[in-house]
Amino acid sequence: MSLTAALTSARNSLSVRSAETDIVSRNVAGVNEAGYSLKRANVAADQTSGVRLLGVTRATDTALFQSMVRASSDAAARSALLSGVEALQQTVDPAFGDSTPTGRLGALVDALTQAAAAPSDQSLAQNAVDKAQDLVRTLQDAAATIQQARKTADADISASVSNINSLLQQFQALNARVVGNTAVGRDATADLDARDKVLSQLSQEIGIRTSVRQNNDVQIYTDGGGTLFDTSMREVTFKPTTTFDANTIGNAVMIDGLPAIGPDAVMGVKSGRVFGLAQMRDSIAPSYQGQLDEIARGLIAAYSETNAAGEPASAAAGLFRDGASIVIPADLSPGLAARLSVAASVDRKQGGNSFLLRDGGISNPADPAYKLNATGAASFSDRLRALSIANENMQAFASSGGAITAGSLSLYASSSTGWIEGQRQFASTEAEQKSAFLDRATQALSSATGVSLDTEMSKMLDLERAYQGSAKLISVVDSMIQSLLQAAG
Amino acid sequence: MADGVSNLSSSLALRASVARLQRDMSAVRVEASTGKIADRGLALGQRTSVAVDLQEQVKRIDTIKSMNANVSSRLQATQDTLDSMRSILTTIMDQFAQAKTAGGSMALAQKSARDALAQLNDKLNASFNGQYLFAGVNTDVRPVSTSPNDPASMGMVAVDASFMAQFGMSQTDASVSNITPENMSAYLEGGFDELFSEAGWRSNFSAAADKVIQSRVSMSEVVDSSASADAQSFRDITRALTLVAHTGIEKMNPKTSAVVIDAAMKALGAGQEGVAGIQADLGRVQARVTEASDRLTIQSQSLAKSIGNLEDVDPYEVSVRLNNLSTQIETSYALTSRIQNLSLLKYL
Repeated sequence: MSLTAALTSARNSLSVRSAETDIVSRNVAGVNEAGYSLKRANVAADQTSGVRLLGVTRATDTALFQSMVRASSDAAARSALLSGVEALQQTVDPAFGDSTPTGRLGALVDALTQAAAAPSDQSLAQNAVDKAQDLVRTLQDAAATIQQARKTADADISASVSNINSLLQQFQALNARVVGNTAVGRDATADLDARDKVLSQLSQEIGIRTSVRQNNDVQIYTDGGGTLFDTSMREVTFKPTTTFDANTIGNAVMIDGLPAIGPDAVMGVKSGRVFGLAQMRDSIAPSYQGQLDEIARGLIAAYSETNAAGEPASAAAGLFRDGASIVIPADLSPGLAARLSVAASVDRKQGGNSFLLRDGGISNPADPAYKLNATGAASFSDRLRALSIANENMQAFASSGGAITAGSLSLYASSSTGWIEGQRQFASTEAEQKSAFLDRATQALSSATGVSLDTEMSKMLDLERAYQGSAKLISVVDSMIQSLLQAAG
Repeated sequence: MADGVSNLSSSLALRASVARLQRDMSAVRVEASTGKIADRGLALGQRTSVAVDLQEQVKRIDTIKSMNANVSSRLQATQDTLDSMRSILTTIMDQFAQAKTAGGSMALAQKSARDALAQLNDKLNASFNGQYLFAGVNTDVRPVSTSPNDPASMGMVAVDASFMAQFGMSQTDASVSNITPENMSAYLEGGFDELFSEAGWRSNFSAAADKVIQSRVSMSEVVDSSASADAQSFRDITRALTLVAHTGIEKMNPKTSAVVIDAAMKALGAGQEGVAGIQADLGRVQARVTEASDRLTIQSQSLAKSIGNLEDVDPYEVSVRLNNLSTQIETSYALTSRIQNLSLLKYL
C-alpha cells in the first residue's frame, strides 16, 4: 500500500463526506415539510479508492403510502359529503329557532287551535293565515337552500375536475422526468418526492390506485378501475350546470369520454372529494327535496276541503295550493315545495277573507255549496276545529330517503328532520373516522419516511469526525511525504 | 430505513390530538352550561325525529291549555250571570206570591216584573270578551230583545200585537177589567203561548242560535262550552215575566189576574228549575275542562321527562369529562413544549 493510495482514499473520503453532508443538510431543510422523504447516500467500500458514492436513495414505504392515499380519498369524500349535509341540516337546525318546517307547522297548528277557540276573532283567523304564509316561505327557503347546495356541489365538482386536470399535467411532467433520470441512473429523489406529493393531492380529489412499472413509471387508475394516467394523462371533463331545480339532473364527470362519477357511471369512482360532492348533489339533496315536496303535498291534502255534503269528488285545495291551482296533487310532485302558496282568497293581505278558514269555501268562495257555516254564525268552530287537528290525519307519502311512508303530516315532517340529522350523524362519524385514519396513516408514513432531526444531527457528528479523520490523515501523509523528501534531499 | 421517529410525525400527532381535544372541550363546555347535549342532531341522529315530535306535542298541549283557560273563564262568566239571574227570579217569585195574597198589589207585581224583565234582558245579553254569552254560535249578534222599557223592543211589540188581536184593545185600556178568566186562559193557551213557542220565540224575541259553541279541550275531547238564550227555561222565564209585566194585570179584575199570576208562577218555577239544570250542565263541562287541563299537564310533564331522557346530560359526568379534558389538554401542551425542547441540537 503506497502513501499515494492512502492520500487518494482520504481525498475520496473527504468528497464522499461532503456529499453526505449535503444530503444531511437537505434532510434538515425538509424536516418540517410534509411529503419530504429522508434521503441517504449510498456509500460503498472500494478496493482502489476506499469509499465511493453510488447514488442517493430515499426512504419509501409503498404499503404505507398506498394506505395514506386511500385514507385521504376516503376522508375527502366524507368531509365533502358532511359539509353538504350540514348545509341541508341548517334548514332543521334548532339553533335557527322555530324557522324549521316542523316549527312552522307547529306554529300554524297553534294558531288554528287559538282561532278555533275564538272563531269570531278575525285577527286570530288572519294570524293562522300568516302562520301558513310563514310555513310556505320556510319550505320555499329550504327548497332554495337545497338547490343552492346542489349548485355549490356542482361548482365544486367543476373546480375539483380542473384541479384534477392540472395535477395530472404536473404528474405527467414529473413522471417523465423520473423515468428519464431513473433510466440513466441520475438522482431522481427530489422529483419522486414531488410526484408523490402530486399523487397525494390527487387522491384528495378523486379515489385512485397506482401501480409502478420499470424505471419508476407510475400508472394511475381510479378506484373504480378506469385509467387516469398511463404514460399520458386521460382527459377528465365536466360540464357544470348553471341553474338547479327539483327536476335538474347534474352532469356526470367524464374520464376519457366515459361517465365515471354521477349519473350512469361506468366503473364508477368510489371515493375522493368529487365522489362526495356528486353523492351530495345526486342522492342526499334530491332525497331531501323529495321530502319537502311531500310535506308540501301533505299540507295541500291535509288542509283541503270538500263541499258541505262532504262528497269526495268535490275535494279541492284549501289553505295551501300548488301555485294557483286548486287540484290536490295525487303523488310526489317534484318542486312542489317551491311552488306552494297560500290561497289568496283566505288572505286579507291579498284582498281575501280570513273568515273563510272558519266558514269553508277557500277554494270556491263564490260557490255556496262549499260554505260549511251556512248561517254565517260568528262562533262556528266545527271547521276550525277540524283544521286544527288536520296535521294529525293519517296520510300516505311517497318514499323519499328514509322518511316514513305513512303517518300524520307532523310525524312525516319530524321524520324528515330525523332523516337529515341521521345523515349528518352518519357523515360526521364517518368523516371523523376516516380523517382519524388519515391522520394515523400520514403519521405512520411520516414516521417511516420522514426526517428525525436528532438522527441527522448525530449523523452530522459522525460525518464531522470522519471528515476530521480524513483531513488529519491527509496532513499526516503530507508530513510523511515531507520527511521522505527531506531524507531524500 | 428511517431511523427513529420523524419530527414531523410527532408534531402531527400532537397537533391532531390537541385539535380533537379542543373540539370536544367546546362541546362539553356547552353541555356543562346548558345541561343539554351540545348538538342534538349529531348525538341523536335519526332519533332526532322523536325529540322534535315530543317538543311539538308539548307546544300543542301548552296552546290547548291556555285556550282551556279561556273556555273556563267564559264558562265561569256564564255561571256568574246565571247565578245573578236566579237571585232575581227568587225575589220576583216572592213578589208574585205576595201579590196573590189578600193585601197584595198587582200594580206592584207588574212594576217588579217590568224591572225583572229589563234585568233579564241585560243578563241574557251579557257579553264576555266582546262575545255574547247566550247567543249560541251567533256570538256577534245581540241575542234577545225582551226589555219592556224599550219601546221598540221587538218582543214587546209582538206581545202588544197579539193582545190586540185577541181582545181588540191594548193592555192599558180600561176595558181590560172586563176580560174574563176563561177568556184569559184561552189567550194564555192560544195566542200568548204561540209567542213563546220555539218558532215564535225565534221570530219575536231571539236572534241567538240554538247551536252552542263547541271547544276542543284536549287532543280529542270536544265539549259544549256555552249556553243559548233559545233554551226552554229562558223562554219560560221571559214568558212568566212578560205575563205579569205586559198584559195589563193591574187593570184586570182579581179573578182574571189570579189566572195570570198563577200561570206566571208556574212558568217561573219551571224556568228556575231549567236554569239550575243549565248551571249543572255547565258545571259538569267546567269540571271536564279542568280535568282535561290537569291531564294535559301530566301528559306534558311526562313528555318533558321523555325529552329530558333524550337531550339531558348527566351534570356529574359532564363535569368529570370537563376536568379530564382540561387535564388532557394541559398535558398535551406540556408535552409539546417538552418535546420541542428535546433536541440534540441543544446539547451540541
